[in-house]
Amino acid sequence: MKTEDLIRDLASRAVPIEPLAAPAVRAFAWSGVAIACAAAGMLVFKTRSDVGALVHEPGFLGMAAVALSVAWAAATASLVMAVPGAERSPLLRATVVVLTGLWTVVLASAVVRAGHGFALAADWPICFIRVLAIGLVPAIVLVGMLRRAAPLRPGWTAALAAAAAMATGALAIQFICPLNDPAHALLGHLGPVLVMSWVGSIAARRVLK
Amino acid sequence: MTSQQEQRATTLIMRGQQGDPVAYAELLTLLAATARQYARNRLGDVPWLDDIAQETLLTVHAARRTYDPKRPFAPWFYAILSSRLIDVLRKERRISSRELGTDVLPEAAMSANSIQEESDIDQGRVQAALDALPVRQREIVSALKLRDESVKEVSQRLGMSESAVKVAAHRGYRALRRLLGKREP
Repeated sequence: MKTEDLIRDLASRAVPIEPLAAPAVRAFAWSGVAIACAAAGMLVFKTRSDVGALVHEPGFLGMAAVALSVAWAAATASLVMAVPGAERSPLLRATVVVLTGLWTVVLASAVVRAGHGFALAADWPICFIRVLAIGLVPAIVLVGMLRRAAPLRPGWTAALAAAAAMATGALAIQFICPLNDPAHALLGHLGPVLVMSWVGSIAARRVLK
Repeated sequence: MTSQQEQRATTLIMRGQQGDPVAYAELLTLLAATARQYARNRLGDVPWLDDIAQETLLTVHAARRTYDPKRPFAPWFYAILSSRLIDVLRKERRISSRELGTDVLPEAAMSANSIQEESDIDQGRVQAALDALPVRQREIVSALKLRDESVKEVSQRLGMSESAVKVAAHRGYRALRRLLGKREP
């Protein structure tokens, strides 16, 4: 096809369109959905009985803050990356990577300190599936938002979107799961974030087409 | 892109977002020329300058709702252009590393071994191998390779999707290679 014919064809398809809102605005809209899904997850799966005491524990709050930060930063970074030229520096992406790395290191070192390896982490698949279930709707909504935009680096964009959605699930599961074993948290709570980010980066071109 | 051109492009894309086809065509013409120039400056007079321009235009069209009129046009456009340039460059490198054009293929390129190998596969053996394939695979391979039908034609005739035809053909070729005692590529 000649470029002139392509231009004629594209121009014939020029219909009025509404420009997308800024990535930060859409990130806030997505946060609303994510919070609603996390709350729904806590209602369906029931919060742990000692949650009132836990919210005063720095360790618990720290992990929740990391999960929340990963969810928000990853969602915002993916929405920014889906707008050509909007990402002025890779700082936000780097923040997601650093926070996720920190999350992994903290849990892995706690597993080592506990000294029993993964022997007590038997129930992790239940939490893994629950994290997936809670993160499913935020993931679908975020992918829908990204498909309306134009991700030029689909691998990164999809990996960040998956991390955001699964971190939402991981945040909710902290208030649901009664187990305090770090190996369980590593496999069942953080595991979906890492695995689905990897899956997202592989499936990116199909998902964000 | 000069600042004058950028201003013009900003006006045109805003009108394009409102559905004005004339302004949009003018914008795309301007962007195609800019894309060709940008690619020529970086790659020289390569034969795929038009591919880069066209890929860029397609992405601009798909991404036009992401352009925020309050932001400068050039960073938005050049992000698309450089991304498409890299994609086309990668594609061309991949193709050139795997394929040899017939225009540069010397007649004497066949080694004695490959000639021997070619003559080893006589028509009777090929026909026998074809006959050994399942009916549908045989039909698809024969249609594509012996009767020069297109994938689309075969898919319409057999009531299959184009992907299903491609998959069946691929399996057929593999089975043929096996039957003819050739190594998998």
